[in-house]
Amino acid sequence: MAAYFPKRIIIDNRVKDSRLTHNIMDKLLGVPVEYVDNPIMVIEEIKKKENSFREGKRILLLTENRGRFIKPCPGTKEYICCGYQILNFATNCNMECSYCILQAYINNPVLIVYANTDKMFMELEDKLNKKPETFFRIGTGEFTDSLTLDHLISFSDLIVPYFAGKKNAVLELKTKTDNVDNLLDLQHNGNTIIAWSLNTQEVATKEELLAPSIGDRIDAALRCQENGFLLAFHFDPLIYYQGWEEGYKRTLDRLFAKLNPKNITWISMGCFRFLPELKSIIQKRFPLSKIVYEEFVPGLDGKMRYYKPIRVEMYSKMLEWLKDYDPNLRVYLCMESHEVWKRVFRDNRIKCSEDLARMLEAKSV
Amino acid sequence: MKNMKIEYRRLDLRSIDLDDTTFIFSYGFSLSLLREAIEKIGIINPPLVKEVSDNRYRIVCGYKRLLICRDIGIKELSSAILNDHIEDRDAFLVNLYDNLSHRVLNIIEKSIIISKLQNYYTDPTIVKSFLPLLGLNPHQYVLNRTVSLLKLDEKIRDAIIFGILDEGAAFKLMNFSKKDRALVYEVLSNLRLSKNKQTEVIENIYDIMKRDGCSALSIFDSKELNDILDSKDLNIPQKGERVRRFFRRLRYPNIVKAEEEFIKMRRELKLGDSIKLNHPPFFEGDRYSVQFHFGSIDELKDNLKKIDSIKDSKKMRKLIEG
Ligand code: SF4
Repeated sequence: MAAYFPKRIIIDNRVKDSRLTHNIMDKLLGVPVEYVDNPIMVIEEIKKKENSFREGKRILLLTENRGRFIKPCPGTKEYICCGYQILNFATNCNMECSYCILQAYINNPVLIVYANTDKMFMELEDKLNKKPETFFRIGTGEFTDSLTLDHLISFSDLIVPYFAGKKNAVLELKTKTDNVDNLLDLQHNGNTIIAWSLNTQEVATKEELLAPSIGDRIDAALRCQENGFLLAFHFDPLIYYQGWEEGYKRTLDRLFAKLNPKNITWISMGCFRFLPELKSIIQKRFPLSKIVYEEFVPGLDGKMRYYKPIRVEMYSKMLEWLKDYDPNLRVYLCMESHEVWKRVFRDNRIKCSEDLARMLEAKSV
Repeated sequence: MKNMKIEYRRLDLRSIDLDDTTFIFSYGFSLSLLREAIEKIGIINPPLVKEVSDNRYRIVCGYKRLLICRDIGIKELSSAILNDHIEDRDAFLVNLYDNLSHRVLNIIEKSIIISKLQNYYTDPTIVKSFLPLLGLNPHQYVLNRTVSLLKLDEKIRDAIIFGILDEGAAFKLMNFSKKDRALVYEVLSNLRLSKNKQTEVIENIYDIMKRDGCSALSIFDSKELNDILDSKDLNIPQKGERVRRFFRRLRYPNIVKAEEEFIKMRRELKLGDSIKLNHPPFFEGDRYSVQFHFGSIDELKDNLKKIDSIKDSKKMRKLIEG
């Protein structure tokens, strides 16, 4: 995959001396840079453009995170959530997945990096030290792709060694990229999990525009495995289409042909779900995409979800195939109901979010 | 509009260009009442025109009055004439404010107004200063959406202002090709569906076309659909409901099948009219419910017995336990 380079960099004067800003300035000679006092104006200007989503992705804004860097995953009580903590160091991403929830979720189209990392580390210290007996799973891939900017900002240089020294936390870097060069020499102490979002090659080609192929993602995972990293995989979103079974089976075959299941910390599955307003955005931005035309119903959290028997069928088959590779694989469902868990796993072990958190923590430690 | 001067003169009707609608946005009007009044008492308010060249005039206000004058053969009439220094933009605003002061504008008129304002103002100015005047929310999205109504065929625009087609449903029709749109409208306009149902049907047709990569024509070719539309035994509301269900089944085959099976199972349970067994909406949650009413202890006992029998239904067990 061709690495991302922005067309324009905007630097908020408040972060002009930060480490991430220096990292990027060293690597992006020649890209026009603008220093501003008020980055909101830049965002507003882009928002007015006809194709603001696409335009925004070409602009990289380095600014401050004035809110909190760490927040719990915004799960809902109706569905079982893994209880993950989100470390929000950036928002938006240069890739173009038709289903990307960020299109409906965040109200700015620009790619933003929060460069006031001193504040981020203070928050992390505070959180992890305050409750030394609590185990934290922290991830950065909720509002962005964790590694897509790493060749520019080298965020991993800061965060991976930091977690290497922690006893009560793991960091999960979730990506669709093969941008792992920076990671390979880092001291991680087994506390950083590199995770890939995987799909069928058909879905990757049609719906995950600008993202690396499935083969490239698996190869990148192999390089991380060779460097002693623990791995994770997220089959999220699982997309239902004619031929999905062969497609997902093929991806699993390719995955386990190269990777050792023993190095896989967890695998999650989540069927495609979306805020209702995303439908018209997908129709407008990705007119060839057909993913919104399957049988969706309003979920208990207000998001549209596949009709339940479709979800149960997809999860059950995936689980069966996964267990054929290794019955000990730790597989979980992302934001599903107790009833769906029961039907898929045919047991009653996971009844609530706390049960799931316990299951994942046992594996992490 | 500081230099606006008006002069009153009698003008030959032929000197006023009735085809020049530069300042006009009236749409979907009927002339009959006004015509009756003019025939009885003549023109009380003279039309306002602007001189465009020597003895040639363009209508500013009073378009309908002038059309009637032509129809009933009036040759000459007293007119108010704006001096030719007045900018076109200001003349248009005179007509706009005049109309706003005495009548309610329909949505197509609003879209014509916005598109004409675009000749004189930038979109942000229209959004900020004119949309609220027209009773519309001041957003660019609303501007784009409203103006886009002008792309619809005249028949559909008329259907909106005469209340045959909901405005929201009409917006959904814009996603279709001209040919498919005409076809969908043709069927819908005869069914008198409520606003929400019109939108639902249009959305379902569109989704089916996109999912299956087909045209509206190929969907409308269905024998089942044509049997409903041609049926002599069904009245219009019944046809509307059947057509709605037809498209819903095509769009959501598994969900509709599950709903139908549930209804069948409920019938087989013979619970009677006073007990209602409900599934969770769209079968998404896991909460089923039973509601019942009774007027005597015997009826209560009878209902409880019937409710108790639900647990013995194999179909119900399968539904709940998978
Ligand atoms: S990679 Fe993730 S964040 Fe980026 S566009 Fe795709 S779904 Fe959105």
